[in-house]
Amino acid sequence: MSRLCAIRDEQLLAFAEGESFDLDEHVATCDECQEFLAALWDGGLDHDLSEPVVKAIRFELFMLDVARLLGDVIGDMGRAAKVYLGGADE
Amino acid sequence: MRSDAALEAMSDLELARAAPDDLDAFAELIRRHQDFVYGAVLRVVKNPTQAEDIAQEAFLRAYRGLEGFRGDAQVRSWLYRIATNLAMNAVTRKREFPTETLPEQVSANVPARALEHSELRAHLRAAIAELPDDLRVPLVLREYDELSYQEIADTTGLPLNTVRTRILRARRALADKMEAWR
Repeated sequence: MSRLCAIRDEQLLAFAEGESFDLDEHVATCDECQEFLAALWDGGLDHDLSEPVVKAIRFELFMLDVARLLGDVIGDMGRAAKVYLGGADE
Repeated sequence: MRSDAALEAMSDLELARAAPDDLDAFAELIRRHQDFVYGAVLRVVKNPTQAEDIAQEAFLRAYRGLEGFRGDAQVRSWLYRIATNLAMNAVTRKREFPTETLPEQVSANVPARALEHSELRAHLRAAIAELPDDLRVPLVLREYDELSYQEIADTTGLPLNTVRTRILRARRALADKMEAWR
């Protein structure tokens, strides 16, 4: 089967097998070729990646919140030190 | 909270726009494209376990980059580029420095009778901890976080050649420290 982009099935099959790296740039932007490859690679994964990825994201967001909270606490401590110590550090 | 049916009815672009605030939307995006991303990576690295790790990392990077995704490219194309860049980096690192995995490199010179694996690893960890910060940080980013030299340069603010030099010096310093294990 040929496509509007004129890339043939055999070329995409070779590409899917790790050959024809010169098609990389084309595949990156061609919807038709991606559709073909998506169908070819459908079911290739044994399990669902969404759970571990979302878990990792939640952990990153949690760490960002902790860092922000620590930053706020340290900022508050710094401001308090300036008030109570006055010009002691100048 | 959206229902599964509601998520499935959303376009890729709608999911990508919703995803920064809605992890269910991002999870749906992952489910739609994970086989494609995995296949794109596997064709480069040719190792299923590594391909799976890189595919997960690709989705993580995509999530971090969602705010900057303007939608001028298809979501799948955008994911494809992220995934293949990561895969190519992984292959390039392996090709440039095929013996760079530290524990194997050190243990190759250790007499079999002396090779207590857990003891060796403990010594290696201690040796890494003893390195000065300017050598340890780039080494750890390279060996454990598997960042590219450019990514380490971007993260640390060091010039690229400085990153290369420091990692080389760190490896030599470690080799000296582990001399007793040879």
